[in-house]
Amino acid sequence: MIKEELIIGGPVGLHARPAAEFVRLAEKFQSRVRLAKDGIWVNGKSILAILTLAAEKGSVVTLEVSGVDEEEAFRVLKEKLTQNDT
Amino acid sequence: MIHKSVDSRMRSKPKEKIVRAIPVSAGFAQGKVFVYRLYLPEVEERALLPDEVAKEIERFKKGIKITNEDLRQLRDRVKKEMGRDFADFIDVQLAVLNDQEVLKKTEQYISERLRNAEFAYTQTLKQISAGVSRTGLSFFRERFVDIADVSARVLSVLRGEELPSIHTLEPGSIIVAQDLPPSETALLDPKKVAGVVLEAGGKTSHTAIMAKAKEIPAVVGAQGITREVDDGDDVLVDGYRGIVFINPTPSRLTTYKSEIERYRAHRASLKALVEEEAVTLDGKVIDLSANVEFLIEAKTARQNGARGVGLFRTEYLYLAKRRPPTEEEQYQVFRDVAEMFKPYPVIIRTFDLGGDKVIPGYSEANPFLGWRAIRLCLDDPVLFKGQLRAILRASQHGNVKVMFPMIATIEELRRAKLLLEEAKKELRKDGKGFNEQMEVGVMIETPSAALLAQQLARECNFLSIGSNDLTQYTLAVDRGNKLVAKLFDHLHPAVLQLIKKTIDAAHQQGVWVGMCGEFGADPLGIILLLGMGIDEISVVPGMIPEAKSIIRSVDTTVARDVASQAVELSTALEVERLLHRELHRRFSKLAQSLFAVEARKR
Repeated sequence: MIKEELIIGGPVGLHARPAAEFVRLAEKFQSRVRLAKDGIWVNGKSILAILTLAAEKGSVVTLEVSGVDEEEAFRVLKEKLTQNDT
Repeated sequence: MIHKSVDSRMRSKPKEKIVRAIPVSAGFAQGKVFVYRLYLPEVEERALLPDEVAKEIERFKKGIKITNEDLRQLRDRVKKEMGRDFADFIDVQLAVLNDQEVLKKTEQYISERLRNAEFAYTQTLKQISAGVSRTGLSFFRERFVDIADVSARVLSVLRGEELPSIHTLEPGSIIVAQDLPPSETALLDPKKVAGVVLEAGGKTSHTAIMAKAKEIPAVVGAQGITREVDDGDDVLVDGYRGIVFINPTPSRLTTYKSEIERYRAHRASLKALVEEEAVTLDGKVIDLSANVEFLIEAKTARQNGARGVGLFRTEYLYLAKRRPPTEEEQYQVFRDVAEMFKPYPVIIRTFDLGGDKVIPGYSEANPFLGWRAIRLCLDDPVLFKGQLRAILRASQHGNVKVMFPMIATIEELRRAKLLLEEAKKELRKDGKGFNEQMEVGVMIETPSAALLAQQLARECNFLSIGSNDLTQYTLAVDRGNKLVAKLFDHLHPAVLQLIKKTIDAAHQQGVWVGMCGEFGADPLGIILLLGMGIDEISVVPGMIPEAKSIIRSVDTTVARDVASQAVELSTALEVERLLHRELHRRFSKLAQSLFAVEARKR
């Protein structure tokens, strides 16, 4: 299991379209993906659940990935969450 | 999803109520209100026997599958009719529909609590949505329109009912809503929908764009109106001035009746001109083209007889995605438009970001004098070259030209052209085709560019005047600021002198010159431009027929005389007076048919 606190990048944070893109990426991996903000954990493969976090740009979230392809998945998903131009 | 109010409030004497709004699509509409409400519907709760569970889950899965097919079909249609960016909205709806948490929990709910699919599904949605933190509420509510629309679709499929939708309306209805989901807006049918009134939205919301493209009168920003009206109420929508009259009085209707009739007759006479050329009385042909941002606008422009796109805006590609679009994404959009207008030209303006088109997450003290348009692009060669490569690649699919916004110095043009050459070199290396002779133009939007028009014209293929910024920078007026907006007037003699100087300079250097600002959509402005010798005029798609009818009733020798008088005057008011006087004296045929001028004077 890989777990790390990250600062949400991108101009708008995890709004609908970035969230939809995140889910699309997450679903490519077998690993379980979870996100947490302010102590609330949600399924990282659910767009509705992610939207309930209301993770604006600059907010701190925890990304947790566990499973057979966790390393690759973590790398890709971390990049998605923190990159500034998406 | 639609809620028909069952218990219409009883009102003995309906009183007229006036609601001010923002006009986004011109025209008038009168009809019965249809209130479009979004909510998660109440569904019946039904207990299952344990041996019914498997069948119920099957039924749920099938419902999701059918809804997927429906939405995908809709997405393809929207992509074709409106462009890729609008299809993205439906991609979000698809993501909501296929949310695995929702699907898994619904199935669990069915099997563990022995409840029917409809009930299990709505309970699951409610349960997940309930997790929204207080601070996240507004963030989440933005998406509510998508969630509610998706769930309504699923429920209607499960119940085997026709999806209640604005597409099944009584003809002639006026839709009043907080907001409309993209899936509804995409396919607005002018035969059924007479008008649209929204509480939400700005001038560039997807609903505004669609309504305009389909010529459905519409206003947005009508705050609180969904609480003021009920299904079946009479309303009158004035899409010219942005007014909604609820229960209009008989005298109001009489006043408007004659106006609506004149408007209809006027539109009909314009329609007859679609195939005609934009040629002046004395035979000068003007390239009348359109300002376009979305594919759907390009289609309207084409239908209205535009001979090209005089200004293709690219900021939306950036702002809608809230990130820089990739080269490929841009190339596809540019290619679509180029192919649509072939052999007519499509002039693509490189990113005019900054100023009022703010990049998310970036702000500065004085944006209009700051890091915007070409300045920003020259500082970000990766972004800029990506766009130039996309434009170049599109140039092999039609008659594509590029133009640079906000040029203030010759160096900026030279540096931009240098990057264009680099982009060409890269494409050659990558073996990607483009038109080696693609024309390069400069937008004249700053007083310095107008004063240096001669020098700029020497180093490019055409000039295009952006009168809005040119006016703002010449008069030092921000028209977004209510306190000084009244000082903004593109008929100001200082602006006229710069426009004339630009046109003369271009012609001295043997290049053509166009106008793509609102000056070209002002009937009085068109007369001046024709008098100054403009070659091309580019206006919003809906204005093409009107502009054409004006061009066709002007003699350029007369216009030249009027224009040379105008530039000598001292104030904007004097210019306007002169033009109105001359309009009635020397262009009387035109004066009679100028609906737009009269509507604006009120």
